[in-house]
Amino acid sequence: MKIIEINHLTKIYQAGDIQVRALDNIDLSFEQGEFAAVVGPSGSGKTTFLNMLGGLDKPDSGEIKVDGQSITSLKGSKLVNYRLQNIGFVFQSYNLIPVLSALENVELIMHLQGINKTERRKRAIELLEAVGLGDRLNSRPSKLSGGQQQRVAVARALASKPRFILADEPTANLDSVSAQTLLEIMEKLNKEENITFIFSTHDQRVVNRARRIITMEDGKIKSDETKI
Amino acid sequence: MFEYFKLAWRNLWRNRRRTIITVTSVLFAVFFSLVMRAFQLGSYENMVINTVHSHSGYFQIHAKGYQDNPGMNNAMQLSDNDLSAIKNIPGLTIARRAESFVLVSYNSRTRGALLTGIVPENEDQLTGLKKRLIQGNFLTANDNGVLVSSKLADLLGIALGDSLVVLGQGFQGVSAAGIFPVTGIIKFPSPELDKQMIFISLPAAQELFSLENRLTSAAINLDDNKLMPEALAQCKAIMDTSKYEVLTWEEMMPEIVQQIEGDNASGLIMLGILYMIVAFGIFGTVLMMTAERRRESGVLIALGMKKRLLLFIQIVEMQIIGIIGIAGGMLFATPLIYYYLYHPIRMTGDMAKAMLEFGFEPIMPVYLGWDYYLSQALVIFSIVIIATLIPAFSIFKLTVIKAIRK
Repeated sequence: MKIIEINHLTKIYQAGDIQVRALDNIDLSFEQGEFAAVVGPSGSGKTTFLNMLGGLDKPDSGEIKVDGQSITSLKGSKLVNYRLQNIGFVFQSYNLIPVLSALENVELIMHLQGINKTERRKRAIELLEAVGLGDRLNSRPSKLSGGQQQRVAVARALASKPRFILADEPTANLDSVSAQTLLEIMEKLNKEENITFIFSTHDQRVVNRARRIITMEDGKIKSDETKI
Repeated sequence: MFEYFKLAWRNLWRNRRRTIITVTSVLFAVFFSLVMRAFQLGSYENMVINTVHSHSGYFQIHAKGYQDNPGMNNAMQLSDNDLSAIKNIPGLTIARRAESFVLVSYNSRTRGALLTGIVPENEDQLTGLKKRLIQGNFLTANDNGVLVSSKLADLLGIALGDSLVVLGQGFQGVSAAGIFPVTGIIKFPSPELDKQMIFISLPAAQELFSLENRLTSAAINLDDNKLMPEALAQCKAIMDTSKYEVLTWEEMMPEIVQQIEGDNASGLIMLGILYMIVAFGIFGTVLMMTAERRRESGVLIALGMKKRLLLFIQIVEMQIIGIIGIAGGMLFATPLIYYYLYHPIRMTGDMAKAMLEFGFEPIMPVYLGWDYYLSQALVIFSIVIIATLIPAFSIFKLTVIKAIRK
């Protein structure tokens, strides 16, 4: 089942007098449960592409549909709400709220969704246990390693029961053991829970695990391969 | 909602030192403004009480036009009905007077003096005249004697038991002449008053000036100055304002009102400067907080937090600073104000002399009231809101991608 359809997506940035086509007429679609990596050299447009999917940036032309609904026309609080209900974000530098514990960081998203305290606490604990942090529920980010913080970020991304998770270079700041652990967790969640993951990455370890590899260059899709 | 308050509270303590400095600046501003205001308002209240109780009363009733043209020809008749209606106003006492400038003589010496015919008991209630008696006896209701101020007695060379000759102009131009035995000597702190005041009983004055039962003024005293608006309104309703004028002490002595207003304005300017300093302190804190958390704000918006909720959290943070600062300021200021309420600062030296000359007690009293506490709190809250809103616009202008990449 297709959950994301992208048609003729184009984004042009003005760099001084020069126009840079960050995305150049992209056509793509993603199925439910995909574990896809968008790869390419720096400046190829993969982060711009993820920003578009996440509703963080607007295309100059083209359209993105999620479950048949166009998100490119959404604005203001509707767009914020769309992100809250449909997308989980995992950032390169974790971006946890430093004054909240791991548990509270995960709960915050559900709080924004209006889920009651008992339910959100139960789900947050389950998610943190699922990412192997059941014993660090009350630790603040500063007391966690980079790998642990990124696992909290994954739990946070899952908390809202999103349609898909966008992970921008999620392993870039992690050592190999932490990266390996994180990828295993995400792959397990993908397989067991059928959660769709879309990565933007340079990391070969991510590429090796991804079942679909989309290669971008100069804002265009250079190749789109699915492993069998 | 509690979660957001918790988040705001924890955000505050990210930079403990900065928060403490900001709270302290608010605390000191509130403390100083409350103490300063307490002394300022206390001095005004004291000035008003001194003024009211030195002579004028809270308000006076005259014949229409007397204020602009005082004199016997503008004396008034106060009917028994009006008088009893006024006396029935709760918390009010009335001091009826007949007063005029006269010449006074003893042996070969003659001086000008202000003669006031009084109802001794009522006059004492209003002005505390009896306390000024230094020799002899105070007047009785139908006394035929005269009280002479001490300096005037010295100038005339008159003493207790001597007879004072009074010469003046009575009602409708008749001559007024009389001889009164000196029954008491009174002393005024003001040398100006002390060399010109004499008092006789009201019936004696009415006879001297051929006033029959007329008065030149009726000064109104109140048990509590808070009764003033209600008592004034009732009095104006009783009196026929086409024949009588009912004037407050502010209307009779606008120079004192102007003096208070001028001093109050300078005090408010000082407060304004204090508030400006606090406002810039808070403004700086908010600016730093907003800049520091720009990336985090971007992340929260990306995750699904609405910008107005972010703004709300920031306002809550600053209001917590405001509340702690205001509460702390009040907590420190109140015992001090209470202390000075019961132990006012006593002036010494020339300042004390000058105040005594005006008949004022040489003290710096304070005023304690919820009104200026409330206004200080509201001003600080408003400053916090304004100082928060200006940088908060940056939250609304925030571009998520730029903020996250920061």
